[in-house]
Amino acid sequence: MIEVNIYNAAFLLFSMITLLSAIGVAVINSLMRSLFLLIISFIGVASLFVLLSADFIAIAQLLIYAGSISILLLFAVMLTPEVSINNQNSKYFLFAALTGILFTYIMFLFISIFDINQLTGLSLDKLNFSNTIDKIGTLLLGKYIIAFELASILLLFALIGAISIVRSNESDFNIVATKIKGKK
Amino acid sequence: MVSLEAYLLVASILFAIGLFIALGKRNLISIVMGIEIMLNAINLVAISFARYGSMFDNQIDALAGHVLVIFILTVAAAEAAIALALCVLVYRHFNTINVSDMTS
Repeated sequence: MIEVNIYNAAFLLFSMITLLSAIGVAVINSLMRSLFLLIISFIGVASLFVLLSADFIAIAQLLIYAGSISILLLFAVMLTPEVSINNQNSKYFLFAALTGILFTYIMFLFISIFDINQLTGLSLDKLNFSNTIDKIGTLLLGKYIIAFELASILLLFALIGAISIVRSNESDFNIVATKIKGKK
Repeated sequence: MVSLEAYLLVASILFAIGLFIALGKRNLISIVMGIEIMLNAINLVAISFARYGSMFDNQIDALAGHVLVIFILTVAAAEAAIALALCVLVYRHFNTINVSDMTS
């Protein structure tokens, strides 16, 4: 039923990399090692995006997830030393495992109920994409311009919020202000 | 071509693993990692439906799923920054980031 070609082999390899390293994040007890396995899982998802012919999304996934979010997580691990070394399960471990298995079962039921393989993607093949980047740019600055501007405002407020949450007290700003005044 | 079903199975297993990590871990940073894995699974579903389920006949409209994924990436980046700032703040206040040890 499943024919052997390079596309199927690549799909099998990349999905195995993604799922096995995600399982590794769940079972490995050292937080540092599970963080690096998480980066491998992000790279696996990015290569699945390449197989789905989403070139710009794959590059953005590599840059944002495997590049910046993992570095943010690394900073958080470094800033909370000693206590953050272990990655133990909590006492709700069994409930969490049951929830995961139940969720997978329900999703399998949903997938088997609907006749989903009638969506073959042939209509997209007729469009003959060379790349998707310029079309995504047209959509972002045309049809979805309001959502684009709102996303930029969201990022700005997240930046200001993160800084104002982490700073310890007012005196940090006062020290900087007096230094600037002293130079004048 | 791999069928759409295979991608959906991979994405649902990935989401279940992320759900397990977010619910069953003691460490606050691990919980954030589980949430990121769940967002990845959602992105995979959106991209696979944009690849297989598209019925449009022009190139612009066929890429709406990609735009959705770009907005999810933006929100995920903002959420990670806020969540990790909260982790650092919780560590300063309680001197631990284990959620089981945080009792007032």
